Amino acid sequence: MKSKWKATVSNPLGKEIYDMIVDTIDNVTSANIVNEKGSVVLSQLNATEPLILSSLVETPMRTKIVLQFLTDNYQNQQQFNAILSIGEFATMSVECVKYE
Amino acid sequence: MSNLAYDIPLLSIDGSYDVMSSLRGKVSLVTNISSKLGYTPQCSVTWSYARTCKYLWELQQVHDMFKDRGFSVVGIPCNQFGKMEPKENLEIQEFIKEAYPFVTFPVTEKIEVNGKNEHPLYDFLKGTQKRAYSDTTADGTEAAKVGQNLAGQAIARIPHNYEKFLVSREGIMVSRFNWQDGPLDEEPRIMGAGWTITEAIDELLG
Repeated sequence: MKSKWKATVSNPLGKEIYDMIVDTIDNVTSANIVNEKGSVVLSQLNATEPLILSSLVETPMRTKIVLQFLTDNYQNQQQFNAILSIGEFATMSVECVKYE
Repeated sequence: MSNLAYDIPLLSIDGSYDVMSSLRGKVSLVTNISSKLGYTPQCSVTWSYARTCKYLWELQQVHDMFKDRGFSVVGIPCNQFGKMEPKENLEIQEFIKEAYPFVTFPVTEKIEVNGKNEHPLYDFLKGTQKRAYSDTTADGTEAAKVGQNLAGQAIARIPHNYEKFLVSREGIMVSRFNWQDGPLDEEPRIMGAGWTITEAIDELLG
């Protein structure tokens, strides 16, 4: 099941809006998050933790990025919140609004 | 010019005490910091914040690792690199407290580290040896990125945020690390100082 969201990432330096496509097939979830300045693909780390998307991406920091959904049934929601953490050092809040 | 770093006054960011004299007898890692690294219209603010967190967090890790043995990181705000530290001292202090609450190492008043208003501490840290080529001509080149001017000599001019100087207990500048030397790197950087930052601190602390 594929759904499209606007994800607004907030941190003390400012806000940034990303397009996020979340795709769930056979309990495996992935998210592709894109804006004009970059993109990150997050794929499910562990099928028993379906709402934690995680990826070790080839960024200049080569660090782990985790997007944690703060709702159990986000597919049925029009809006939900998430937490984006990068390595052990950065945590940002994310507001996701469904548009398709 | 003073012969010892700890004789050169440099106030804390709130102006309440002289950070350098308070470090007499300690080993210190002095670095010019920016609390808004990469904060430009071209950059993602998500990555800008993540990068700044990473740089400050790694400095804090090193501070915590060695502080009980007589060591301290010293963060010195500077606005000379991409105008990434535009605010005044007390605003910077508040911003660091809010955005990077894990930072406990001392942060000083904002100063300039290059040019005619260069703070005396940086005049001391860079040393006085003369160079055949102007360091400024290396700006933006690959040479500058690895801490060299176009003649292959160690660059005097600070090229970027997060250049690091290791200062001994006596106040002598012992080693200089480029901004690309991560505080937690496990291998020395090629063309770098020849040792990692943690190796150097450990050696100096004895």
